[in-house]
Amino acid sequence: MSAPLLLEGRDLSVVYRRSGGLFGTSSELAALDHVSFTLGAGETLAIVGESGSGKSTLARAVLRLVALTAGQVLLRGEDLAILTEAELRARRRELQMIFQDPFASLDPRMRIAEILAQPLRVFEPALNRAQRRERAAAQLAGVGLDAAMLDRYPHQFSGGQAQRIGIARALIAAPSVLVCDEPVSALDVSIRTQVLELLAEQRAKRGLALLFIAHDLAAVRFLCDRTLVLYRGQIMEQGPTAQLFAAARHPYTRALLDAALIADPLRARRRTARPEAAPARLAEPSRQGCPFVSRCAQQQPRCSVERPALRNVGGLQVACHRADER
Amino acid sequence: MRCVMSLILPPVAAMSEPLLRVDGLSIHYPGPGGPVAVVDGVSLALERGRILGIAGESGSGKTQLLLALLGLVPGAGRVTGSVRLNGEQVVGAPDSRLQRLRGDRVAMVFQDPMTALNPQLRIGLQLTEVLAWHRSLKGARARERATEMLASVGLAEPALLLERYPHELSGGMRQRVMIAMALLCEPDLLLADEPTTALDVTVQAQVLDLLGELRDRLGMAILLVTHDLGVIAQVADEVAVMQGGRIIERGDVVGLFAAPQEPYTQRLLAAARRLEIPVGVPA
Ligand SMILES: Nc1ncnc2c1ncn2[C@@H]1O[C@H](COP(=O)(O)OP(=O)(O)O)[C@@H](O)[C@H]1O
Ligand code: SF4
Ligand SMILES: [Mg+2]
Repeated sequence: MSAPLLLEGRDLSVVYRRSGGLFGTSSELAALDHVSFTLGAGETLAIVGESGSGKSTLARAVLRLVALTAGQVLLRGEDLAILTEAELRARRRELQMIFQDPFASLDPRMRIAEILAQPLRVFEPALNRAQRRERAAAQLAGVGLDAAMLDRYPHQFSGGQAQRIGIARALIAAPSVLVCDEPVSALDVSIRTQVLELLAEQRAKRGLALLFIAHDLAAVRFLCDRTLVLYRGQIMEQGPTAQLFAAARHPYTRALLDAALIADPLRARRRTARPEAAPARLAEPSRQGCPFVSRCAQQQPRCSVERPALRNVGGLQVACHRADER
Repeated sequence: MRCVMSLILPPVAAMSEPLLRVDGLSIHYPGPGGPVAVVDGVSLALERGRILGIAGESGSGKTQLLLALLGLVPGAGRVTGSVRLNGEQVVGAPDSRLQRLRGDRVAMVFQDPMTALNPQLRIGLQLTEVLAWHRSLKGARARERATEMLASVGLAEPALLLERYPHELSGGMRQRVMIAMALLCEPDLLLADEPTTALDVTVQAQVLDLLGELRDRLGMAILLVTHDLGVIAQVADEVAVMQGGRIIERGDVVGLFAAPQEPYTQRLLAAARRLEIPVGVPA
């Protein structure tokens, strides 16, 4: 048998119970609905979808920041749910996270030196103060910032710099998996490539695996080996990134691709209408049938009654009744 | 020459006057070592039915420029130069006049719709209040107009929407409601500050298509500010690149994207293109 995968999610479901409906009723929302994925050492998997599709819920479920309704998260083959607190703490080190809003995730009252020293206090309690500061300085240099910035506060940095600090804080724990929840969405386009390049560089240097969450496909193409497309908590399509971009079979993936901006006015305007864009309506779609049916221009009668299973079509896994027609 | 013109022209729109004309506009804030310019000698003109994109990174002064066009620069900021809308001077105009202008002839949409929507009030009330204030339109007629406007920005079930509160809507729907609110009085000029930055790509595409359509249908002029050259490529007719409070390069959008002259513009464009997806659109 081959070595266990670094990280695996098996049939993950997270159901939120929402209270406070019109008559004090509560309803259930499957934010994550039977999603499975694998991640090998040094590999990068993209999780893509519109807001509300369940991407952050997946990230939080992996980090055990939210309780799973069903399913298992395995780290090197070990189920995280059955570990003791102490064992879990040791594994936590291996799983680190960076967030979309770099400022919101940095305590404004702490200097950068303290922000970077915090993970070391937890994971390397033997270090003394001077050693922690030394490590923090080295880590800051590692993400392209000057060690002289250690004594500054978060508000003294630009968005791109603050995100580098967030990356430094995650890396200082020496994780094997970095969960990145939309790490460049809040940054100017001109800064995004710099941050993506930093992630690529750190991945190469440390053999890091990345679980990279994005609503924007552009960042994904830059960085990720495989891509998994989520809609309403379910996998619509997944496969090798290059193939998915060249020959997506799911109408939802194609809608995401069609909507991507092109920095060329002539080509941008030559695009056709976008039938699969989100309709601006209040109604929730029914729970049976294809989750995408209310927006799908390819739909057939069976689409509203029969939920398509994820199946292999031409090297991709696609959940669409009509996947093999193209 | 320009100064002479503004002296001899009456304060009503002359045929030769563009809808918006900005001349030598600067905004200074007090700094530790004296006043600091956040907008520095900006001049531009915008005709009816045109979309001008202002491209620049965070902190380049884009939003301050838009605020000055509405007379909304915060108290500490000192505005100099000239902003003429339909021939009427905005810089130094009395508050009462500016309040009429906003929403009536000029409207603004923001990155975050919640800055324009009141979370406590139903959508319908927020829209009809605008009509009561600017158009003295009340009751059933105001509701009818509000419903029409929601439909025209691509919102399904507009009558139902009037009864909802902002938090009951998705981000994309709120953005549309804010645009509908801005359009209620059919302004001549729409100022849009990163109107799609917080949206999903699919919704972004729709909102940009909507702006283009409104320009075509209503002959509205749009000033669109964004850090994303992809947004400008999609809808703008003309583009001005802003850096450190100045416009460093401008031109029609096709020409400028084909042959940017300034190294800074070239850098911005290269960054945008590195992240571009090779979608199936012929070159
Ligand atoms: N704590 C919560 N309670 C109830 N619903 C939630 C909670 N967190 C997220 N949701 C809902 O779960 C769905 C998925 O959310 P999320 O994982 O944040 O999506 P994404 O990250 O893709 O935008 C959304 O409909 C969201 O409103
Ligand atoms: S299953 Fe039907 S509705 Fe769903 S994506 Fe495929 S064609 Fe569209
Ligand atoms: Mg999220």
